[in-house]
Amino acid sequence: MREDLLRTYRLFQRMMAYPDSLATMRRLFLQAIVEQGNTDRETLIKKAKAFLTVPGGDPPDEKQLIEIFNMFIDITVATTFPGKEIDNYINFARKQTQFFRLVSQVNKEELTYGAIKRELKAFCAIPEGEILISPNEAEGARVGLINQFISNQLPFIGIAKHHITVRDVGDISDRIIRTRRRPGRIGGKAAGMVLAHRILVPRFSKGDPELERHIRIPESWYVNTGVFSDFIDRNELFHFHSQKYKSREMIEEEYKKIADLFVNASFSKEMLDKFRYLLEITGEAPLVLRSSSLLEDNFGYAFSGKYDSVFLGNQGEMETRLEAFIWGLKRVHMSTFGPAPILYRKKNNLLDFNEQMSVLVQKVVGRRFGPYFFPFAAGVGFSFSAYSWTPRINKEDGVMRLVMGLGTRAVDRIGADYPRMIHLSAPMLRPEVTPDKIKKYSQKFMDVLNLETGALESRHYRDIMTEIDHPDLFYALSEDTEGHLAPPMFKSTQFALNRTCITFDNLIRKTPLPRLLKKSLAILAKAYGGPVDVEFAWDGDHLYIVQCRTLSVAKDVAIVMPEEIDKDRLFFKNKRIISGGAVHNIEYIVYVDPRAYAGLPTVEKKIEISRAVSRINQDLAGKRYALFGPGRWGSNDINLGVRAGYEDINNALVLGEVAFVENGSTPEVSYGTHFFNDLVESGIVHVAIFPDDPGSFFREEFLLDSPNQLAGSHPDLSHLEPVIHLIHVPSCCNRMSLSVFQDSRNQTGAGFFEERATGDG
Amino acid sequence: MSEKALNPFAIAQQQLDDAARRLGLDPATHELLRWPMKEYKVLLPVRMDDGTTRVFHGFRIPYNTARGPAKGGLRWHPDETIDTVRALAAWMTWKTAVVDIPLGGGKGGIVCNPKELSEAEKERLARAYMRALGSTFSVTRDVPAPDVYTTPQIMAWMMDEYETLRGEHHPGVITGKPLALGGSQGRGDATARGGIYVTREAAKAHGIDLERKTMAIQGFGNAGQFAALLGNALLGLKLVAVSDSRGGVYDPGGIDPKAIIDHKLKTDAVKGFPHTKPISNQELLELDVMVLFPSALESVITRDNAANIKCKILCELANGPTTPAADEILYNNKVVVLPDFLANAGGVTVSYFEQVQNTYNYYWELWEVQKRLDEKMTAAFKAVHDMHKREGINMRQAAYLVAVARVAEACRLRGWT
Repeated sequence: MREDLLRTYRLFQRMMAYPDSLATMRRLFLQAIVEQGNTDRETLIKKAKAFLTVPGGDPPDEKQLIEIFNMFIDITVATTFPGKEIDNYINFARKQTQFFRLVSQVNKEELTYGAIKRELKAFCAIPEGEILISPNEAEGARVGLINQFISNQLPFIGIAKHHITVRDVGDISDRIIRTRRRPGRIGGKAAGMVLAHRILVPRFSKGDPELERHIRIPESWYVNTGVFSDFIDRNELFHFHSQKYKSREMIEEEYKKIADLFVNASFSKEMLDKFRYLLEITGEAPLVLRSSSLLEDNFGYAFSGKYDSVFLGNQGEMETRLEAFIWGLKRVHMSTFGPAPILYRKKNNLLDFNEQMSVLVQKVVGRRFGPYFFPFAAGVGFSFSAYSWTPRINKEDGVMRLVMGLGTRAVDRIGADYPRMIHLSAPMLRPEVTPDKIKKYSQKFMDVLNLETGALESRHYRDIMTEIDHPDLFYALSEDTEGHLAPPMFKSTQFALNRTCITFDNLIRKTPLPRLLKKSLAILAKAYGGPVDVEFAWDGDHLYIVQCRTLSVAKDVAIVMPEEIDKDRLFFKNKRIISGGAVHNIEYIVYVDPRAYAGLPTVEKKIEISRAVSRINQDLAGKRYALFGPGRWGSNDINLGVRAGYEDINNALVLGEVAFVENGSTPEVSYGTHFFNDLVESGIVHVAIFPDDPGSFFREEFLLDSPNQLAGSHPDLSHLEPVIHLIHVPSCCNRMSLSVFQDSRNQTGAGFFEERATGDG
Repeated sequence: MSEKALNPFAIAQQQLDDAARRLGLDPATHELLRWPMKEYKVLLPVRMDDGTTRVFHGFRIPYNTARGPAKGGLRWHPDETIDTVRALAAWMTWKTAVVDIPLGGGKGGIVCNPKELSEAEKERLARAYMRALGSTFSVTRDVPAPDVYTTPQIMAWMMDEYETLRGEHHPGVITGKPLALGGSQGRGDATARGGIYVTREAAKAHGIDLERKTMAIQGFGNAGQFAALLGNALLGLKLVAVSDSRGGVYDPGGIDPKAIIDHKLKTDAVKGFPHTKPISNQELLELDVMVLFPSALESVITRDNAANIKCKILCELANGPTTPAADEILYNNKVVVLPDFLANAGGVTVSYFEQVQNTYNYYWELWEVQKRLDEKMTAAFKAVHDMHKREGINMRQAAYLVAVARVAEACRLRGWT
């Protein structure tokens, strides 16, 4: 009896701490009592009546009856339910009360960021408990909150509302760097990362234990779009908003001067204090500032590599770090006005959208070794692999492109260096068999952050590993012993580095990475309702999801190659098909002669070719043209291919990469780079021709001997005629035009001249 | 007919016919040597990873075993044909004979695309091949080795399958195994080292002092890289030009072999090596150097450029870099050609050493392998050079004559002909 009294007293005290939720608590208590089967509502009412009835007295009034009814509910709960269960009911009641407040704030016409944030924080302060607000009930609030804090893109919200909880938004809001003067969102890249994480590791529903154990996202903060808008206004830089409507030449010209303007522009004291506070929290952890604009990573428009990301060593005194941080933020912001994203938006009819930039501030995934900081491995994974060089590869199982060190090397075209392509349906399968070939087509350089210089460096992995002692080389290297190339058996193996190459064989065989990624990509693709592309890092047994977005995939339509092509009409035949497609009625061919290009004596001369190609591309807008040239388009090594961004080739219908043996390039490994993603997204058919391969054919003499129209159409480029050939196909081929077929299923392709076809293919 | 278009086995037969004519070989021996003595054709059903079964076609041709057990590689290639295997088996017979190791010649292959096979499938295929042909292999009958698309790992699986079938250890049944499983020291540089030894002997024979003279290397894979290192270390040659598939570099003042190998390993190309001038493959071949090592491709010296070759010694580390028409021009121009099946026989010689060590069950130190290789290559050069002088024929023809005569003699002594 004494114990019951004490328990009831304690319960009542706890209940009275939340007077707003009392009615909800008792409703939940009664529901639980009835469900337990000890008593029911009517019995308790009878009991209350009996308690109040005095023989010969007046019957109890309604108010008294309710009071005593509630008393019996409280006593019953206090004396029959365990403490933990009672806590759950109390917390759930609090959540419901607070939740309705939050919903009413979110749905108000006049939204105030501060008010929503307050209600959100109050809700998140309540322990999660074991009873949850039903998903349907919570959907409206989640949609409102996602729209307010994360993204206003409807396709994104449509998916995110099923996975991102109110508490997730609460966690994110704690990490948003914002200004009081402006609302803002965290942008597409940040949104994609958060969403992917929650899809893979759900907050409340039962997830996959293996994913829960391994999947992480890097520690992140979000400088929201309001900060960017405020910065522009404060420094009177708003004229840049109309930059996008200017001509390409003007955009390019003015962008060269933008850095001077941004150097002198300043953030408010409020923001500087917040940045300083952020850097106190991060300490001297290396950071990456990643663009996360509203349009970026939008469904269908990936903006691959269009905006800048900036790595910061973030070492030293606070003011030094702050200065570098601010310049990094400005650089990311500046890239909003760069020619590449604006031309990309123009091409995709996104120009009129009020694009705003948020910056995702992340601790770089990795560990420090000597002066270097890097993750053991990083890369990009695709849930669907359009590139399959053998029918044994199941495209639906996806593929990853893996490098040792920072993942920058996996997404850029990097000259004569090769990330490991791992098909997730058959991870050990690779097109190279002999040790020499495996060594040739392996990664040689790795990207690392040098914390002493603060610079992002590309160094040969052997040079780095000579300087440091990395514990995980066992997973990355294979060693050639008298012609026997094999991964080591033991982690303690001491490598003779000059006999090693990066194969990741042990990583594939002995870590869960391929399995985790395959599983993750499948789950994400299912949730997104289509293929996805994920950037990741692998370090210390954790798979860090750095980015997730929808993936444009060339339609895997059956290409029906003509059965017989008259040899006289054949222009090329090729075998290694990365993605399929067919294009008819090509009127112009632009050809950069690989040998002439290789023979150019200086880098400046090669850059001149890049500029000329870009101009011709602009001038051929609206015309049906194909562009053929040496090695790798878009490579960062100008000696391996013409330096070109997507905006320099975007009007071509076909992009051909011609690799003569003596030039030695291998276009096929471009699959998965930002540049290649752009081609797929815009439907440009990629063609790789290896004229020296058995079974391949390339009628180069047609290009070299046909009348070159370059001087006629561009008199100021006439001196480049030995290198660039502009051919009007109908004039040279009896009014025929060029058709190009690339059949990825059967790994065969051809280009040939034919009478104009109906439809453009 | 173009210089390249013949069926490989027809070419091999023509070469034999030429040697037989010069030797005055009797018709029966000639006929015996024109054809493989045995040919095995097998079907290999293999369970694939997805549960299906695929049937592969395999061959093994011990071409001639008069001088000893057949020796020759196993090729895994989608375009493998019986005629290619026959031709290569014949050439192995001459190669083992010219370096005078007590072996015959053979070759084998499986029609498959190893790029499309998982490791587990490769292992099952290797074991299936050994199960199908195990009764024909042994250290006293026929000893396979790695070749196109086959690796030391594949040799290890095959050896294990063979030993499982026999219930005994027989590491010598196959060579080119990983070191940890009975492979030989010295295999890595054996081809280049053999070429360097015969170059040294050729220089001696022609009274040429190689110290500080120049060398150029066309093709910078395994053989080319070791030729650069060993040519410099053992012969005192100065490397002045190197090329690979992406072009070459030239520095008449000399190129440090170690530094350019390091550059190649890092950048995947020799071009761009500091303080050198670019040079094309064609220009490199025509440089005025003391020794030229064609180390990569077939048919790079043809009737079109043979007259421009200025080196004094041409050491063929690659297979077939010189066409027959070019051979004649070089001979007339007094270029000392060290033909491929002599110059690059270091590989098969060390394979033979592996077999010997396996049988002996005692393993030599690296220096012992190298010393014995030197003795074999030196003796082989002398035999070929003597024949060349005695018969007034070019070195390739002389090498054929030496080899065919040795095989023919073995056949005669056995009473086969």
